[in-house]
Amino acid sequence: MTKCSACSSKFPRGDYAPLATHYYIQSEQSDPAHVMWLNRFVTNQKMSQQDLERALHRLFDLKDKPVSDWMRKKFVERFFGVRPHPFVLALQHPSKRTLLGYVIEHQHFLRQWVRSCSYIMAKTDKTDATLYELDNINTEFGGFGPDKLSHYELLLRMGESLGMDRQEILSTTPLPDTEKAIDGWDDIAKKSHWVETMAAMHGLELIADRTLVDSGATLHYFEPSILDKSNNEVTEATKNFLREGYEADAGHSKEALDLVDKYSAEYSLAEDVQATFLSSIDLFYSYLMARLARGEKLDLED
Amino acid sequence: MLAGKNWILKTNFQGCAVCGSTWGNYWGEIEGERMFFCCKICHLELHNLVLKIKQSTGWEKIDELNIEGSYAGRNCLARAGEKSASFLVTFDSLGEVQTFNKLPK
Ligand SMILES: [Zn+2]
Ligand SMILES: [Zn+2]
Repeated sequence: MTKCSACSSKFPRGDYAPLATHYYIQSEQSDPAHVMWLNRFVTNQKMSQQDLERALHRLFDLKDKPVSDWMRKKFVERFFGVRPHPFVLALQHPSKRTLLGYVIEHQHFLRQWVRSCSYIMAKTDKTDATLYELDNINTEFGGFGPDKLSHYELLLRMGESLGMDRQEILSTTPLPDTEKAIDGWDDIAKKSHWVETMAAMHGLELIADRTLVDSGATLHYFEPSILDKSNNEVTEATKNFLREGYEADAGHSKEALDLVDKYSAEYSLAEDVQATFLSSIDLFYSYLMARLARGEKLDLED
Repeated sequence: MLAGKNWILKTNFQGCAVCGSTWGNYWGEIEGERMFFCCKICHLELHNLVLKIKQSTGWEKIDELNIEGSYAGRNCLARAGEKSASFLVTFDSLGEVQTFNKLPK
């Protein structure tokens, strides 16, 4: 089966005519989720059903490569393409606003992260997937003692180093798009196959993957030189947080995407993985916009 | 094109008045005029944007509104008679104005 990225309706594998018809009907009814999906991932110029079928074929064509190759390519197009995501641009040399927006919204993201990864563990009986998620949850949330703090703790410390009280951070509720994204990821984790959830969540770690430049990214998540010892653009706690992600995520996402390749082949799930991954990066796009918006809303002196 | 008709609010697109998409088939009223949108979210966006611009400028009506960009950020040039103002705007996915910054002339 394959599924609609906008509403999860199921369709026969490899045949894009029914999926094209489905999008076409939904577009005629002006359904926002389907129309936006067409606008963002296919084209914003209406085409015939036959042309749409061909366009979907092109969009989902794996070209006989593992599904993770396709995921990397889509991720680069979306976040590091001709028009890089505004949050990525802002993070090159981040302001206090950008970083605090990051801290406040991301604490909510990380709490969902643990829930999503727990669903994967609850649903899988594959030892390598379970071990991977265990390690990942500890890295992100649990930590490995005082010498190796979790990303969550490093995030909070970054916020404190920028002058925001921990209690204030923790008590700030998410912006609507962060909440919507979190609900979306929760829904994916609840309803989808665990391999799709792995792709949906760990595919997002590509954001900090330094090897994306090999897949056509023209810039990194942030300008690497801001981590230099001699560079004083950002606080030490900020460097610690960014460095963790920078050093961990490349390995992380690679390992997870290898598992996605392995098990999507074993279960013949590649098309479902593709559809779910596109939903996930769409949520992520809006979520990153919310980080920026949060920064702008803060009452700070510039 | 909208030109030639007596639109109170002109926009510069052939498709959806906000995003230019020609998918969808949604008609909604803005400032008393029926306009084409790809979906109700874009209609809500324009509705909220017009309110926000009026609030920010104090104008009672907007004669012309040009919108360019994508959901990563839209440049909006608004005119009322001889007056004009530009804004950089983003919307959240529910159609609310998420950021709204007046651009220098
Ligand atoms: Zn659908
Ligand atoms: Zn639209």
